[in-house]
Amino acid sequence: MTPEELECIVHARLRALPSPRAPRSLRPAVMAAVRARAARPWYARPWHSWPSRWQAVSAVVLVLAVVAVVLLLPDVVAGSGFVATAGDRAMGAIRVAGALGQAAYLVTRAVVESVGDALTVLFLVMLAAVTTVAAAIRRVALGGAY
Amino acid sequence: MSDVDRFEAFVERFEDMVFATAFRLLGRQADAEDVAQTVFLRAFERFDQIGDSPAAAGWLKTVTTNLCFNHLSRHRARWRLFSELRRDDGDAPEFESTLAASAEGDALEAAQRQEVLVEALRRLPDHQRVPLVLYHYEDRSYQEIADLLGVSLGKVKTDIHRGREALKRYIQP
Repeated sequence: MTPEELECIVHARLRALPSPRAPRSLRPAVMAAVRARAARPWYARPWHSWPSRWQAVSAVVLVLAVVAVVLLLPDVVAGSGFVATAGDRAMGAIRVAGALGQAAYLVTRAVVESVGDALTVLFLVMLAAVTTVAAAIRRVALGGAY
Repeated sequence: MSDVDRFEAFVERFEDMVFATAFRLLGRQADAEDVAQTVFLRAFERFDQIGDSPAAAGWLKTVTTNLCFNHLSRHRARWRLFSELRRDDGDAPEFESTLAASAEGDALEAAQRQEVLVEALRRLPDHQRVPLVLYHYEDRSYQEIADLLGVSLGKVKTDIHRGREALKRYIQP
């Protein structure tokens, strides 16, 4: 039997097989999950299913939050310079990092996970990179003063 | 009729197709059911876009296929999935002898033969079954399969050929 003949025979036999039927448990399971999902308030659903006006509002809030971080980060970092000892400085830095981490977590949880969109993730990563570079430039421009 | 009711009709219409696609690719009913459920939950999130679309079936097949790939690569490292390793099912030798004996029996009914072939396909190693199913059921070309799986064209052809050879003994002339 040539490979071409084998291909034809296998193709015919496989296509002649009865198609597997979905188990009876599938639809009830899907619909139970769907009803639970439909019962959630709009803000607990994935971002792309939010009402369009709330999508717009949340996008504006996100942009404002990022801009605020860009503008305020140097002052926050500089504020930690008032502490006297190295230990206090370290604690201040940890608090700032913790606050930023918490903010990033909340933003990620509220928007990024629900969006599930690679482009949005890329956009946020690029914004974070720009924020970091801007903060570094400010520090360099201020002579590392803090 | 509410969205949920419309969606239930949508699920009823496509559940067999989605499950069959997943089951052929994964070879395991429980995994196929999990994937099918995930597919429909994603469909529900976009139901306003795909609910009445003629492209719904294509969208469902694409999402099902992609989720199956994710499932396979999540449970087995990709290098192992598409390597030459056999499936490590403990009952494989017993199944081989059972199938051989069954396939050689003269009194075998057509339905039993089909069942044997289904089981033989299911028992193929993933790296043979997945491209074989994509070729024979999803009408994908060798090149498309190679692109989808991220392997060479030669490997796809070899794996599909070996899969066919493995099925040959269970196909009555």
